[in-house]
Amino acid sequence: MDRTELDYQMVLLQRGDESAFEVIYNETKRGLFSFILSYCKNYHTAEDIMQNTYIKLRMSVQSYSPGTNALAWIFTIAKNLTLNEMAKRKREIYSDFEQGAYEFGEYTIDDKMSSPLLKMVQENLNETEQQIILLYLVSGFKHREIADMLDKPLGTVLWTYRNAISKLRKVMEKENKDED
Amino acid sequence: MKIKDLKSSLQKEMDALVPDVFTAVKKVPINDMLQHGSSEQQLRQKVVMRMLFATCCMFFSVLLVTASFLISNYTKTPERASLTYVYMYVAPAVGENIEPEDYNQFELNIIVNLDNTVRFISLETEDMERVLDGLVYRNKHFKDIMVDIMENAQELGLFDTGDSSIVSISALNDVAGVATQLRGEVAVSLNNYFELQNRTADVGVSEATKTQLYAWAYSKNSDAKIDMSVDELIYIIDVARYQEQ
Repeated sequence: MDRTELDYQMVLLQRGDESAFEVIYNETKRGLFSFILSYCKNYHTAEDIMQNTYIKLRMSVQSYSPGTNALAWIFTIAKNLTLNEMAKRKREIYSDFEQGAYEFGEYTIDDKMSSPLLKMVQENLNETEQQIILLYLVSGFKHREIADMLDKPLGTVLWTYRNAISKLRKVMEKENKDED
Repeated sequence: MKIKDLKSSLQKEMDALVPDVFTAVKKVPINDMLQHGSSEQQLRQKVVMRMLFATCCMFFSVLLVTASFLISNYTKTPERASLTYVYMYVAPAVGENIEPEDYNQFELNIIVNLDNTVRFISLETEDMERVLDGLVYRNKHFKDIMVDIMENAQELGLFDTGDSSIVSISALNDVAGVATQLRGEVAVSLNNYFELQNRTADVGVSEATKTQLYAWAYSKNSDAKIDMSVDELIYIIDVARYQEQ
């Protein structure tokens, strides 16, 4: 779905069209989840934030300005919720005797199901590289949009992306050789 | 593996991983920020609502005060009006045992406001002929115009029958004191006039309440009540005047 179609669906949602929400949800859920996961790195936390993002989207859809970037608007909600959640959990750590119970920075996707490529991304790329790869390849953002989201120069994003792809290729080539 | 294949594979893996929150989220109503907005938004909405409420209150207060002012002015009108009847019996000749029937009779109706400025004047003969309709006297103090009216009556021939007059004055007002004061002022004015003219006059007080003016008003409006107020009388007079024009 292109950006114009998504914008149209947002307008329909503003008018209370439930079917429009279903379309928006199906079109954005994958990208949104990978985006949140790239930040918080915890499956259950990402699930909660994803749910809250869609709740907030439904409740405040009237504040969306038609004709602007709907995808960026939704992802901004997700980013803000994620950052809030991370700050909240960080505070809770200090008041909790079981330190580390809410810590971020550890993927739990292994518990859910087998995801070899995601696991490869997680194991071989640093945090920024992971975010850029997921945002570009899974969420469908352009490099310029990713630069804005991560507050990094476009050149840095492009360089990091190429570097990450190069790393993944090397890993895959090595794995192929090992299999042979 | 090409980037295209990597992208496709990553998306597939993520699709399998994405939790289903659709059912839970769908229960939340669309555009429901009023009920579920942040505390800051709720506070802002509260402030806006309170300002709106205060503005409405102020508007209705101003409206209420204006309306009550207008209503009080309207309802005060009957109290401000007074009606003075001046029955003038002009004697045909100086002499004793003069009967009123022998007199040239005319009726002066003066309706004045609370400040004794004239609202309406009419001078009618006993045949109910209106010989003076004092629009020109409106808003002037009745004392200032009494001489003028008497001179008009003389010019009209109403005083030609003799040198002596019997004048009967009655007045009507919601407050008895006002009516008495008005009768007295009319009597003084008329006495002064007759002295200036070297005429004699017997000015007395009458308790009559209905005059030819009332009879004239009944003739103009069959729906007029027998005990109509001064203001109802003025209304009928104004309507009749308008129709005559």
